[in-house]
Amino acid sequence: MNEGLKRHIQYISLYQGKIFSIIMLGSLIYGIFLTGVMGDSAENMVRYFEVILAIIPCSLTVNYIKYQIDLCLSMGCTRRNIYLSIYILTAELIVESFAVFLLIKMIASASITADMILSFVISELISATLGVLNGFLIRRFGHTKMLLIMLILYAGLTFFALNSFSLITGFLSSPSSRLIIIGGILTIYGLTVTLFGKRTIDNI
Amino acid sequence: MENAKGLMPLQCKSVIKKYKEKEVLHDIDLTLEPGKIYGLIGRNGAGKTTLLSILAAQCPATSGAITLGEETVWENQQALSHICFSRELNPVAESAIATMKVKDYLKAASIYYPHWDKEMADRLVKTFELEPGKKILKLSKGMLSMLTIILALASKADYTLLDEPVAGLDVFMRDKFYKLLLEEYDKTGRTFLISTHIIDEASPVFEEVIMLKDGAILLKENTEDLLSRAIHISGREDAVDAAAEGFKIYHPEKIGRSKGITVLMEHGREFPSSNDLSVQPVSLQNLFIALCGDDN
Amino acid sequence: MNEILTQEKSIYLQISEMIENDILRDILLEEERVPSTNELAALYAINPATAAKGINLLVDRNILYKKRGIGMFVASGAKEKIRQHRKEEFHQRYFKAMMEEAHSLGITGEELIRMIQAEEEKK
Repeated sequence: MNEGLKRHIQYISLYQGKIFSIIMLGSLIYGIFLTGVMGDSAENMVRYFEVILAIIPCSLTVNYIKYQIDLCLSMGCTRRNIYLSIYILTAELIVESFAVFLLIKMIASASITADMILSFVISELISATLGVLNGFLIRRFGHTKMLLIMLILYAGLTFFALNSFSLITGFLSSPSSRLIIIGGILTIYGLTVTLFGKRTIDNI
Repeated sequence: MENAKGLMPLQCKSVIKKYKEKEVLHDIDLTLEPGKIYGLIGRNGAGKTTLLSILAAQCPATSGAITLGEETVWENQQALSHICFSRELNPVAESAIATMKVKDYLKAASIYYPHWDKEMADRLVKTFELEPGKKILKLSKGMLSMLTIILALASKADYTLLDEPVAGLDVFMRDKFYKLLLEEYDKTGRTFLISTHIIDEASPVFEEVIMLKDGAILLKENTEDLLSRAIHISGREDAVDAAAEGFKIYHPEKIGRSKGITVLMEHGREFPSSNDLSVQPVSLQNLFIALCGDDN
Repeated sequence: MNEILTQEKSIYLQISEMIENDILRDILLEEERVPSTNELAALYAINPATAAKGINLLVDRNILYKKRGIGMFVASGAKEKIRQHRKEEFHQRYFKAMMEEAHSLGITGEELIRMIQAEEEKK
């Protein structure tokens, strides 16, 4: 890893870590509040929290691309390092969110199945893809146009995350289809970053 | 090899920049030798900020290359670590900069610039009386300028480009800036390229001046040498016209029977003195007006 | 030192003249150290290269000399050299200009001589 990339990751982690913790704390409070208000079970509170965990990669990536890139570029970061950092950022986020996901499940004394883990990882990747897609499209076409699409996508994502277990268990009945789906998502993610990223960043 | 990069020239080679179909920089060839303070002057829209942006690889040239020594600068992390581009901070509401605090911005800089001098940055924050905890969006124009100056100086970059660093500063702070700049130059011999609109004030600080006109370099010359060959001739119109025969005339001004012109002579030439004419030296600002004004 | 720089003349020439003026006025004495290039640059907020040009001009004329590792010093006999040089320049700088101005005003040679005599008598 070159020096410039190291420094850039250092900066992003600084900013990312701060916001990640704020979102976590915020969503925890939000979850507890909702549970109290709705008189929901602990299991549903965990569900709310998981949904937020699934959205974090999306929102953080959007934020990174929309707000931070200008600053990074202005301080001499290369565009290549920015593309690379998006991959690294996403991997970091997924791992962090995943760790929290496992922790929550354990606290809620829920049994952790392979399907559950897989579905969570997939929703994280989808979230990251959407984040990248949205982030770049917002830069290119403006905030207002993308707001509507973002709302629809977030709604869809929430629905998907909440119902992911049953949906995905259906899809993932066999190992090969699991591999296909994961491969497909990773490809879409990679293509999105490369295609949109290059065109947008070069036009700054 | 690491330090040797700082001693290599930073060059533009046949750089052209187009925005859509409009060409804003035409075939720029420019060499910045290490260890000099350069001034960049030009009208609004001449292309100063674009040129600086391209030099710092923050904006791609449409064609041509920027090189530091043997290597191109574009997307070259190694080369970029020797360059700092400090531009007017424009805290647009939806940029990261707007909600950042002064200390966060400087912290980011300390991460990105490998030779960042934290002690210097802290000292300058105190000197300029900036509040580290204040959000950048809340800073006045003058304070924004001070922040860009702190960034430029504390970056300790071998090539530091400043885009209008004194915009919004009062005369005392501008004076302070020139002194700080010279102090830093004295200590480190770093190369500076500074664009400014406050020309006469800054010209004694520039070893060389680069004049940009309509997207092309009009001249690049040692400031003292340039000014020694610029003169203003005034007197009766016929006397002025006769004396100016054979010279290229700029910015003629007339009132009644009197006429004034600016002439740029070749090196070493002297203009013959005469009773009928006033022959005066020209300041850099007035020379700039003569050369880059509308009447050419 | 401490004269103000003008736009009228090259900065490096002004620097060298200022130092010469100080030598003539015994502000800088022979064999005394002269402010360095960087000190001058800092004092006048000018580029050190310009200050250096001014100092080098005086070194070339043997008004100043360099002591390795210590700095620039006023050469012995500098004051006399400057006076001599200025005497030679007097004709070009002041006398010629005065003659041209007198001519354009219609002041005759005799009137000038009378003016000079009157001034001398005052002393």
